[in-house]
Amino acid sequence: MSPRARSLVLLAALWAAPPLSAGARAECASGRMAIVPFDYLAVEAPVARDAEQRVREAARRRLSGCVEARPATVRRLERLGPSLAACQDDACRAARASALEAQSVLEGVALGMGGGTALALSLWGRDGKAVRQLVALDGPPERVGRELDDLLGRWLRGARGPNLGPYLVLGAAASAVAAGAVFGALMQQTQQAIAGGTACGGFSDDLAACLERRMALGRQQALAANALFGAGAALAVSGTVWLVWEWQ
Amino acid sequence: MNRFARPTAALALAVSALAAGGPPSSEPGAAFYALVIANNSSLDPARAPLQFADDDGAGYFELLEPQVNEALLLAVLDAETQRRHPRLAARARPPSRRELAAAVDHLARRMAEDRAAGRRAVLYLVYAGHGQKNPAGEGAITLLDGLFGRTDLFDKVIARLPATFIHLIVDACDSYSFVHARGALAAGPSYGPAITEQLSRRAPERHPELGLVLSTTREQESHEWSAIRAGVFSHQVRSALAGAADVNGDGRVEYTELAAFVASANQGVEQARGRVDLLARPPALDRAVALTDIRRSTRQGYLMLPQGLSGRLWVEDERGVRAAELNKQKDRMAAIALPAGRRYYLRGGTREAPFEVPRPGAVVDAGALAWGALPLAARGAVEDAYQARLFSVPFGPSFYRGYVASVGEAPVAIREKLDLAP
Repeated sequence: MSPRARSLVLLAALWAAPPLSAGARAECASGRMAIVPFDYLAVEAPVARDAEQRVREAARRRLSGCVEARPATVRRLERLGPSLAACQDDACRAARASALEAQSVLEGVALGMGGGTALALSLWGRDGKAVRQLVALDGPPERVGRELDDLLGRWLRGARGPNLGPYLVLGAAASAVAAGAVFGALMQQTQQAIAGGTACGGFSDDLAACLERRMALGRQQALAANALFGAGAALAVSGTVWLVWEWQ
Repeated sequence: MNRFARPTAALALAVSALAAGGPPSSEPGAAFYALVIANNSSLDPARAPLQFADDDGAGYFELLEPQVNEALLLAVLDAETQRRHPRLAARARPPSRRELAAAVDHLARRMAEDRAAGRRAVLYLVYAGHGQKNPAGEGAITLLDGLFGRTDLFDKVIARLPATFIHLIVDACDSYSFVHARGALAAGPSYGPAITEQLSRRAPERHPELGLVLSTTREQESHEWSAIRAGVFSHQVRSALAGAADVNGDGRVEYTELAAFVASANQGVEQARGRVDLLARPPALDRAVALTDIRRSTRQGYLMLPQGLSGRLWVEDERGVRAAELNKQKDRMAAIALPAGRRYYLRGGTREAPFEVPRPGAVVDAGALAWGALPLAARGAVEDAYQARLFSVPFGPSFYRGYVASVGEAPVAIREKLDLAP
């Protein structure tokens, strides 16, 4: 495979590769999740129980075996008693996660105001920093599922800390452009030497062969510069897209 | 009344009701109405006009109008109140005997249609203004063109309305004063207790559909609160009706919950002359009937106050109108109903969190709001010692149980903890 073809394949691979799936990377990487039995306001208890079941299913889809079963969480809560039941700050939430021996805690309140039903969800980890989301339960199940996925995804991104991936890609882009600039400069030197007659010294039998070699070198330098500029541009776009996706 | 006058007034009421627009608030098999009467003026030259009865009328109207099928307002709003409630003046009719009669005629017709169609008809009848005795010695409320006595109330209003339930709310102490100038106004005999006593004595026997929420403050001052441009009693009742009094979180505010909420809001006021007292008596027909039910579909949005958020909290809108206030227990949740389409500030202590209720039915989670420092200008409103003692006691199940036990009423069911069934 020619260098040009190889670089094209590499570029195509870079474009096609999506950022790593948050779900795949978070396969229990963020530890066990405890879902506290849902509370309810202006609605009957069965609505809260049903909503909790839907959230458990969505969480299991996303986190597979990392979601603690309800009876186990209930046993822990009964052991703990009412302490730390109502948290207002990060420290209290962190203590609650710690007391439940969970890496993350999900709480929910089913709401029945105004003729509709909604769910107020709050998800936090050992640092106590909560992500909150209101989910309307009256919509189609797939939309509810998407909103739950969105909450879990946002929390997982926050839980695993800043992702260095996009910065590495952007750094590689800068390196490629710099290397392309170096090869471009070398190519220009070669071109000037050939045009000025200094590339191969005086006349000799080897002059033609020497010029041929220097011209081939110049062409390789030009190809490398162009390939590196192209790769740099592609990496820059990929890194930017990845970074924006991370921020969302 | 001129025989042509009544149909004209009734037509105007119907037009103003139509102008209210919007879809009717819905509950299958029920129709809701509100008639709000507010009057600053006094017929007794010795008694100063009120400052904020019209603001209270506007406040009740804005609270109830999105919850009911039709709301009527009888009030002359002063310039400042019209500035703060710019769309209400065009919908208001004068608080006169004639307009009241027209309003009752109109509501009686609508309720008769509802009953014929098999629907329940529920009326909120609200009065804010002066009260005094009429020439017959009865307790009376003051309208622009005369007194409206107890007999008038029962014969010309209550008896004429084929309502399933009537929730009568009266903030009618005999004189108001600014909190900051207590005792400065001319003092006359107090008829507030007489009015409420007679109302409460007669009502249940003859009208089992009638529930009462009455201010029974026995002092001259009925405590208008200049900082929020409202009467203290009405502010507390509106807060309760907005959902702050829903102690068991079932979405309904019953009479005992409202009474306990108002009692807790005034618990910290030690001086008897500064306290607001009330009488809350549910309809004999159904003592557990709800005054408000935030589960109903209405044109309001909702602020959800989660567990963990605690202390004295109040909600003000962008006009500076204080919509609701409470002292929340930490382990209790609450939902406050608010008119939709406005920006609000949730305030507490020295901090505030802005939020918007974008559309009817929208729910805002107060736990997700971003808090900032409360501007100094807004802090001044709570610096007065009297105001600081209002809402100083947390309201929750423990206060409620104690209150209900003390008055001998049947409590609402309160769940003790989460459903931890496996």
